[in-house]
Amino acid sequence: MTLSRRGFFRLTGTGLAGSSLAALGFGAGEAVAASVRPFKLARATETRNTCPYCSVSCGVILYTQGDRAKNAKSEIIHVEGDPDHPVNRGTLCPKGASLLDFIKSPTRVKYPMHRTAGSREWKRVSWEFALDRISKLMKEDRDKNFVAKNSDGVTVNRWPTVGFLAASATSNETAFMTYKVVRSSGMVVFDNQARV
Amino acid sequence: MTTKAPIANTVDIGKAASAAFLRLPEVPALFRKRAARFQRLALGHPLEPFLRFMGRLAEAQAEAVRALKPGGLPDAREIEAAKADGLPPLGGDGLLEGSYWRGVLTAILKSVADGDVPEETRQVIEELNKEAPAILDGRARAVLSDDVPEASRGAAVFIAASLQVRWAVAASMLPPEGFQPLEDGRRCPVCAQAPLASTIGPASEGQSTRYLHCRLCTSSWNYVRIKCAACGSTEGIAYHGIEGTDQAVRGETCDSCHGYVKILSTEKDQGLDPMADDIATTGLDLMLAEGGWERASANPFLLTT
Repeated sequence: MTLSRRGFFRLTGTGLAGSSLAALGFGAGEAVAASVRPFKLARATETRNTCPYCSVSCGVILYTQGDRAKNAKSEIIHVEGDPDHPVNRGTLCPKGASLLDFIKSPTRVKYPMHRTAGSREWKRVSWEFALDRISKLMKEDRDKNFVAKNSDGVTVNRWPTVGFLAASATSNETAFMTYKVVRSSGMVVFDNQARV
Repeated sequence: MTTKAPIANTVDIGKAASAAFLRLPEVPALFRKRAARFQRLALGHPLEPFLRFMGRLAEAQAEAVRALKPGGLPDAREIEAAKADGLPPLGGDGLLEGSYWRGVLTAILKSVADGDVPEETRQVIEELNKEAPAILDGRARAVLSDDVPEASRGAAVFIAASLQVRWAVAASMLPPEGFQPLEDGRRCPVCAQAPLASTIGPASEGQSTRYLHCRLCTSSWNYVRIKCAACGSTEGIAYHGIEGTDQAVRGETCDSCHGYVKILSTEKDQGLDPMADDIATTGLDLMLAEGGWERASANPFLLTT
């Protein structure tokens, strides 16, 4: 994209001294410069996202306060429906409207957790451990229960004992990948968060 | 840690679904509202005398709209043809034809000169009162093309005020349907000028879409949020306001072009006016300039070097 920088300018104190203000006899604007000198600029951002609750996939805007550029702590302070989103036009259902609580929930799971059989406690584990453990259990189950042919001898390649629940707020590409992985493993039970 | 549940705004879905692309100005109400806003902002402001003067100028604009028979519009067929081609029907300098805009200028100059003004302003008024139509038209073209010489910055204020009346009156008479975004929405679809500032809200009335405001014909048009109004980028957009204030006015800054256009939240203050609040927040411009940001379009009433 080409952009003409014509019209772009820095509005400085020196600029004010030669401005329309001065030309009409209203001074050089020193008082304006003095009035803002004790203050600092505050930075905030707004980020588009998709509500994770259902397949309607309403657009949301996350409001963040703080200066990421200076490595300071930034914090999401507000969540609102995206008024430009064609699906919800700024509106949200009560679940979507309470997303801020979802983000800040003290019980929110932030890392893989593991509870061994018979234990009452959840323990934080590494991603590597979690993924290894999940794939090992899945493989064991699949080896045990996979149905290659039905009673008539027709190839069916079914894995009926494990199901998969996918997220709702996914792109077409993610949905395509999920479908390919799940179906090629033979899983029959497959659903989306959309129905929760 | 517990967080307080946000109170959800009740939004009329039917209303929210129809954000009009274009809002044409209502004259003279617009100028009268602006005049009142200038006077309200002036109280205790470091630019108080200038804001009071700007308030009187806006009042003079309102009076000129009322007192003079409106100038003509381009031919209806030309307007429809321009819209069909996605062109701004009031673009260019066609509305300078005839004597209407100069009649407005004369009325505004008289109205302002009746009050107490600084000596420099009085000189500018006297100079403009003496000038021939051709010279004034030349000054008008310089304002329209954003090419005002330094020595003419004072006079440009009165010229711009008169052109605003000319274009706003014409825009207010246009049928509002059938307009298309110009330059991906970064220019006014009615007259092709750059936006002066943008407004959002009030969200509590289901109006959380954003509108850019034309600095010439005072129309406003819908423009996607979190998108640079100067270059169209959606990456690296941030909002800079003055810490410790209500931040009803902030700069929407862009890391791609390093430009910014102000964004006014009418949720925080329902009386906001893009023109009056832009000038009243010149302090924010100074701070943004120090931060390395460049203003993407000039305010015709506050031209600087």
